[in-house]
Amino acid sequence: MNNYITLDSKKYMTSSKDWAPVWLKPATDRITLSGEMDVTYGPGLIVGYTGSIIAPVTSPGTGWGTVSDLKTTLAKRTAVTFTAHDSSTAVNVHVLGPFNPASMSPMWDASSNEWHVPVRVLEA
Amino acid sequence: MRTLPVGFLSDVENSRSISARLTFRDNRLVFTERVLADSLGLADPSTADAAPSGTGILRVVNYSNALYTQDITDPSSILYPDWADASISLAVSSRPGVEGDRIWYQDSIGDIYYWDYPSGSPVLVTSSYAAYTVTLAPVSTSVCYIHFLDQGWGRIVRLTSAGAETEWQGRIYGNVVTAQYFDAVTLNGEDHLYAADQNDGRLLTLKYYEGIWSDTSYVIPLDVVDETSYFRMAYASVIDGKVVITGRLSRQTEYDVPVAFDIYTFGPDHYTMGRDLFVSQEDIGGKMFLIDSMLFYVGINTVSEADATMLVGYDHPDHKVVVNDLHSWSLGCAGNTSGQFSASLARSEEDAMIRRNAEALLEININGAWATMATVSLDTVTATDDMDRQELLLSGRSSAIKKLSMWESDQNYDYWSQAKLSAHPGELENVIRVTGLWDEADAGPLELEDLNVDGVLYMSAKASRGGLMRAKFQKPTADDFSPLYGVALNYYYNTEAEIGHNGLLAIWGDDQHSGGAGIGLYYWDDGVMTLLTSASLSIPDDTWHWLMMTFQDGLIRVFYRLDSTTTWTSVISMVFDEEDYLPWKREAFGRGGLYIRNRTPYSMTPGFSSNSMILPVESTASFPTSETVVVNQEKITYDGILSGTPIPGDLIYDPDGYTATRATHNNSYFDGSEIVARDGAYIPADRNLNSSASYLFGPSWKQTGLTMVTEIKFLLKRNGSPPPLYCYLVHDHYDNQAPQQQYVRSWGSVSYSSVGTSYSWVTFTITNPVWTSPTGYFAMLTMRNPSTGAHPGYDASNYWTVQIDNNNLERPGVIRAYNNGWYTVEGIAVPFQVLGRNRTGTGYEIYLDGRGSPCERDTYNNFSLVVTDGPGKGSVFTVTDYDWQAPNQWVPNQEYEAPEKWQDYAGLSGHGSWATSNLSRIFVQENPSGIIGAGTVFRMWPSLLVSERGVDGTLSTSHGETEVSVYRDASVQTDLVQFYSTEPDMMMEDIIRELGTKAGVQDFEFDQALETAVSSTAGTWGAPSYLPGRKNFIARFNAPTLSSSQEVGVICRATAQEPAIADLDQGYMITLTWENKLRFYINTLGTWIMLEEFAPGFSFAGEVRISGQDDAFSVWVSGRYAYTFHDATWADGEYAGMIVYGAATVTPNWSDLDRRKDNYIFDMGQRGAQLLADMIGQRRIYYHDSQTGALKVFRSRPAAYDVGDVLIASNDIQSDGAAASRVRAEGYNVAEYVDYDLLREEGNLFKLINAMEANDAWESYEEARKVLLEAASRTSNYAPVGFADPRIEPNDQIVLSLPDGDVSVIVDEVQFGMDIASDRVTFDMEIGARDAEGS
Repeated sequence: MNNYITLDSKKYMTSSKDWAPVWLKPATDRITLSGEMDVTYGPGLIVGYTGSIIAPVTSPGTGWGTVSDLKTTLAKRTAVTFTAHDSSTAVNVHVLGPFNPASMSPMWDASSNEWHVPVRVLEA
Repeated sequence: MRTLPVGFLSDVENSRSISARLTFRDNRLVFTERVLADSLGLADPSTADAAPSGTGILRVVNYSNALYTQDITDPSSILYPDWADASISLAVSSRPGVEGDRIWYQDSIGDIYYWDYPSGSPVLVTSSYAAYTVTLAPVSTSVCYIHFLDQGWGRIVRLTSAGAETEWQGRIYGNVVTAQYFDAVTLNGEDHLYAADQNDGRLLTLKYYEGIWSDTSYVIPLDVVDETSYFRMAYASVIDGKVVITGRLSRQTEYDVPVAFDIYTFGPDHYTMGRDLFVSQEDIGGKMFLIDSMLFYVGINTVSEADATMLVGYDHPDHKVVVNDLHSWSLGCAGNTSGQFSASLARSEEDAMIRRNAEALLEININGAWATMATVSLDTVTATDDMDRQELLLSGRSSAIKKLSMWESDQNYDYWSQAKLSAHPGELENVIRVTGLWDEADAGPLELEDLNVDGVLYMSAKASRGGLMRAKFQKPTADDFSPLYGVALNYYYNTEAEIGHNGLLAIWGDDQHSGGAGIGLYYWDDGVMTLLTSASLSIPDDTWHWLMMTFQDGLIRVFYRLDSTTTWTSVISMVFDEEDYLPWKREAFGRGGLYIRNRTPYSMTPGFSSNSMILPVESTASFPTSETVVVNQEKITYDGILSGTPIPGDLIYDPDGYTATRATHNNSYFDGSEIVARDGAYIPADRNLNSSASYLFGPSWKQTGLTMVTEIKFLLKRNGSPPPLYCYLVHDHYDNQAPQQQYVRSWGSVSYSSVGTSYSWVTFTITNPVWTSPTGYFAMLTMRNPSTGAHPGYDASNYWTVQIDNNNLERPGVIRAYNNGWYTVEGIAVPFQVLGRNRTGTGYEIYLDGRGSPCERDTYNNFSLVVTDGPGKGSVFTVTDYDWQAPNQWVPNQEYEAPEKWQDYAGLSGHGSWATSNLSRIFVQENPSGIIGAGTVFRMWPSLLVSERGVDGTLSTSHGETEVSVYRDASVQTDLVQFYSTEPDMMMEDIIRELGTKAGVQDFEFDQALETAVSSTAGTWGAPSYLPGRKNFIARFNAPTLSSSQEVGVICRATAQEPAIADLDQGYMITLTWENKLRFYINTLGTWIMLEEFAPGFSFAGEVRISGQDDAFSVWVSGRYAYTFHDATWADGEYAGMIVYGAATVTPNWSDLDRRKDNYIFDMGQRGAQLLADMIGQRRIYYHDSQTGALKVFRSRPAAYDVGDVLIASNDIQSDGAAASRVRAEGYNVAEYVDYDLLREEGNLFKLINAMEANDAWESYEEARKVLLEAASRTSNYAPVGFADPRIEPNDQIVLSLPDGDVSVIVDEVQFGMDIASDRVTFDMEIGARDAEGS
């Protein structure tokens, strides 16, 4: 069990307040004209996480990502590698928004500042 | 309704899982060519053949009259092996063939062998074709077709390896100089043959199936005057169950850049000309083979290669990609239009196979099971890249209709069904009168009023090459009446171009077969009949009967049937083989025709005037001695015939002919005509001749030509009994030159016993009359004996007294008396008459060029001299005299000044000389002056001597050149004529299939109206399998093998679906019998009788097509026209079906789209989809693409089915926007249909539709009825939404479960959409439907 995740080969801390696993079963449910429930399921089960990634302005050490690294990762239009807290195996994930980064300090570029970036990480 | 796997929808209500995938295929055949090393330096691809062999191809060629082979084990290799000399000499220009490693060839002496490559020994197959240069096209190791030219026309023979020979009954006519454009393949038991009738033009095809040769048809049916395209076939092969024809397509262009390229087209029966066509712009002339994953187009020294695709049935892995992850897709389907497809994929799925024109197979997965949803063709592939997403957006259309939408006809393709015409021959709108005067009958029999005139009618039905023509005749009994009559095919007549009658003509006459009764079969070329053959046939008088002729690809057959019998007698069967003559004048303009000639003895007259009492005729040989004749409409009686032979040939008028005074004459037979030299009033006086020395010189006269005086008369009386009195004919020199006696030319005498004592005319008959020259002569009376010179003495009592004229001194004659010397007594004249003959003929003289043959001058009296050309043309003169050699002509030696002329000096010494005349003279009764002139040409005709003109109240008129016929109040009668061309009746299915195939569609789904086997038991008619709504129909089934007494066929015009045909009270049956005959039955009030039976002359196998259209019931077997029955008794009765007699079974494949299409032209520039829409119009015919990409066409909606509990919304929409309560269909026939309930409920809503395609009024009525029903159903509409039921297609009838209850609706359109996202998963449908009630 690590206290970080690895996203696109960079380590990040996550916010304990909202970081949580997500299991998504694609489906649509409706009511038919006869009043019966009508559900259409999509293929598979989508697995991932939701919550905020903590990205410091300054890297705390080797292998750790900064807010700048995170921004680069989030801009990619392909799947990226991801290793969960509780795993040692990297999987490909899509990191989806909307991203609404929040600065912990009014001094956005202070070296001690951290950004909290909410994301949805879904396995590809 | 889509077809889904069994159980596919068994568990979809309320919940299900879904997904989808797309399989993309690039099915194009993209050829690239490469030149082969050619060890022989070959150039002409048509000299070779090739066939699959092992893993490669075996080729054979005639090179320098020797057989060479090339065994290509790997067609994809760069180097093909050298050609190997097989050491077999070949016939010059023959083409060997190969199939299954068996090589067929014609050796140098013309024998045909096969040789099993590489180690077999040559086996002689036949020596029958040594006289011909043969092209061999084997279709297997046991069957080879040969094609060769004979008399310029193409013949085709089927050979088996055992030497059995079966020749095609027809000929390839046209501009063919080589038989090498020929090939054959076998497919599904049918052998398909291809041959060209124009070397660079058109390709004909025919087939052979179980002993039946089909008729020919064109692979590319061009418009008759189209010269836009030419197609020269190279070869035929079979790939993926299809015939592949290759060849070179050339396009007419006025710009100096030729448009020509090698193509392939898929067949048989219908041939593609769509997007998939091109091989190479090089003229390779190759043959197509599929070997492993490659297509090889092998030419003589070039090969083109392409990856095989699904177009030829090969699922090439390099041309396919499968995409499983779809974001979304939608598919909109509506009736009679293409399905609209769109999809969204991840950009990561991009692939070369996902391109425009790629085929995309859409499959859906529900609960783990896959089903095909649609086959589409991509129109656009859009790679999006925006701030939100990267996607691959696809759009496309269902593939078959897309092909139709994109295909634009590049020329006018012209399609025709059988031309049918049955009419009373008097119907002017149906039967065109060409020659002859016909009566005006339109109900009773039609008669030709003319005698001895070719009366010709032709049928106004569409022109065609050949067909069936028959007519019903009756001939009366009459003396001297020997009619000719019959029927014609390929008839063509063009008055503007002055082209006479043309075509093939079968004539019955009592002299048509070796002088006896029979049928003469003629080839009619610009009005000239050439007898092809004849056959004996007696036909009773006053009996209605039929004559029928058929022409199919050169096979001519003539039949005869008494109207009171049911069976036909075959009279003539032959193949038209006239060298240098086509069997048609204009191949596209031949018509069925009818011929009658009411033959009585007759001859031609050049014409004569309204008052002429001689009737010139070309020959009197066949005329009775007296008779009534008819000339045009005038009846004339004659009572005499001028027989004999007139002067043959043209007689040329010579305007310079002139009979000069004193002209000499060499014609001893022309001894002159009687003349009277002197005659007239006088004042009498007397003069006595009583002295022995007295002479009375009577009058003198000057002759105008050689004259023979035969009699001289004086007014005499005798006094007493004087000695004889002589009258000398004396030359003018008598009184001037001695010895006088030499000038006495001849004389006559009288004795007193023959003369009275009072004056009377006394005739001196001249003894030994001689011709006397045109000079002065005297008649001298004397009593001196001219022989002895003695004379009596004076006798006052016995003497002669001559009456003299004392009161006309000015007359040229003088009296001279001799009394010891010559002296003249002036003032005394003698009345006398000199009778004789001279060289002037009787009548008006006409000079003709050239001398005639010596003959008596009256030889041609009363013959007619007819002006046939030049001035006076048409004038007729009566001959009164003939001088075969005109008097000698005076040739003056000087010129004279006017008013003098040479004629004044003719015969005078010093003015010229006589030349023997080279002219003849003819004398006529009528004065030709002012009528004839330089350039006039005569013909001499014998004559009938007329006794009465204008007999029986007919009008006596002048007549031009026409016939003079012995009049008989008799004519051949005809009251029914029928013509049918050989083209099979096209049903809607055929033409849609043809159109679709042209556009490149190769898969079709047509609903069948009747597919269930029909059978019966021995000795009984089984229960028919009825179809409603088929007063007219085209039935289709395969001919079963029949044994004794069995029959299969069609029953029609029934008004009820009675299981027992005896319970019907009307109807027809058309059957095929176990004896390979066709039968036609009619039911009248429950009684069935056979009307007619016909043996087409071939066995029955393969597809049978029976077409019933109004009064015509036609049969085709295996592509060959068999016959057409006709009857108009039952014009209604809408039930038709299959019928069987005996323990036989027949399985129909009776199309639901069996409505006949008379004619359709794929106009150049028209889009296929538009053509299809125009063709269907407002008929209730539905089409859309099937889920597999086939063009699905149907008329009857599938059975209704329930849509389960999947709807989540629905709208009920009432509308009158499309309502109608009255519909009128207007075309060639007009019909109106009214729904009185709707009229009451909705009011008067009128709708007019175009029914130009309706074949008759009944079909127009049906169109109107169906359109109204369709409109009525559109007043109540539904728009349900819910989970997709993938079965639903446009025009399905479905049952919706709505809150207010179930509703049956017809689907007009349905939109499917699948959307799969993390937060939304749907596979929904939106339906546009209408109430099925009443539709």
